[in-house]
Amino acid sequence: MPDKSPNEADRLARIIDGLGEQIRTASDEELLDAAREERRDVGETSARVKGILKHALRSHQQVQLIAAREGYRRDTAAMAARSFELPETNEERRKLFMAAITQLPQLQPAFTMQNREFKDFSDDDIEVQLRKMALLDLLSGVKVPEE
Amino acid sequence: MKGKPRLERAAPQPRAASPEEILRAIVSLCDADNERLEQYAINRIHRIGRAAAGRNHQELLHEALVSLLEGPRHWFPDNGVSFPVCLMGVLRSLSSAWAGHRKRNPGSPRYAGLESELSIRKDEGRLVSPFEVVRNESFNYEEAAIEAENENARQADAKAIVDAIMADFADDEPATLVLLCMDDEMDGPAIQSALNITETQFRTITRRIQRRTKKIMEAFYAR
Repeated sequence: MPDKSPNEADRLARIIDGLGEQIRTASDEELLDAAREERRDVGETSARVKGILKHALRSHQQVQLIAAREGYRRDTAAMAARSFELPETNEERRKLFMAAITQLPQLQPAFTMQNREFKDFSDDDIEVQLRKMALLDLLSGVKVPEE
Repeated sequence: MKGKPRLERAAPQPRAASPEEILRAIVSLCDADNERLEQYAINRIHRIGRAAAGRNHQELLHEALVSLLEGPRHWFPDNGVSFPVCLMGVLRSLSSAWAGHRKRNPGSPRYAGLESELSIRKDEGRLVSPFEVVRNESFNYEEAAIEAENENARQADAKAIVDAIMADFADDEPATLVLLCMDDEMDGPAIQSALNITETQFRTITRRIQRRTKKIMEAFYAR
């Protein structure tokens, strides 16, 4: 047997750890019996514990959502604050967009090319995407092919 | 003979559960899982005592789940560890982290009991509040004195609780023997073997200890 430490806090810790180990390893039936002996309603405990865990999950998701919205707001504000020299007409912008997609293959996965026709992109979509590319300084080397 | 150097393939990174998987795991917890989680959370709060700084077992459960979602702790469902078992591990490490924080920050107002309990008298007789000491970041005499005060209070709390538990079981020899074995860091099978009792007898005794110890601790910390 190891030497007993005169440290009272350690002594209490060992007892509580021993009891904790019994909680961890007890059978389901035993735990439910113990609850009944203490006249605790196991259904109520279940509802309470699940409620706490679900509430924690919802709070986390809400924080994530707020952070995503804030990120989006910052991105759009940054885009609005910077002036980009984009072509003036919708048609010219669409041509630049198509040229960018063709010449910058690393962008293709981001636009789910396999599943989506670019003709489905609205003029606004095209402009937003071009602004994002300009913000990342991706458009400087893109050449629109001569017709 | 020297062969070609073998390239060690890096082990694939385990996949952390998504929030949707965690939600499904919460929904599918059975009554016994919930009972186990709650009792274990209570046990951990009792284990860290005043380092819980007023936080209860429900807050520990809440924080444990948040820490699973945000890291650094994760649940890897493909590794064969069930969600309740993983969450109990987090309850344990998180409560230990709370206790560690208190140990590293003895002068923090968060852990101050009554200010008067922790106030100390300087050499010149002036009474110094722990909050005054917190303002000075360097380790100094006052901080060391607060740390010593905290440790004395922790030992005194523990002694009062252990004495109360032992007194409560003074007429219950089997329970006293099991408590002494736990104090000797013996695990369940070792205790059964040392006391020559069956697992059922052992579980019945620990249930009794569990129930009464919980009451003693709740009464102590509710003071």
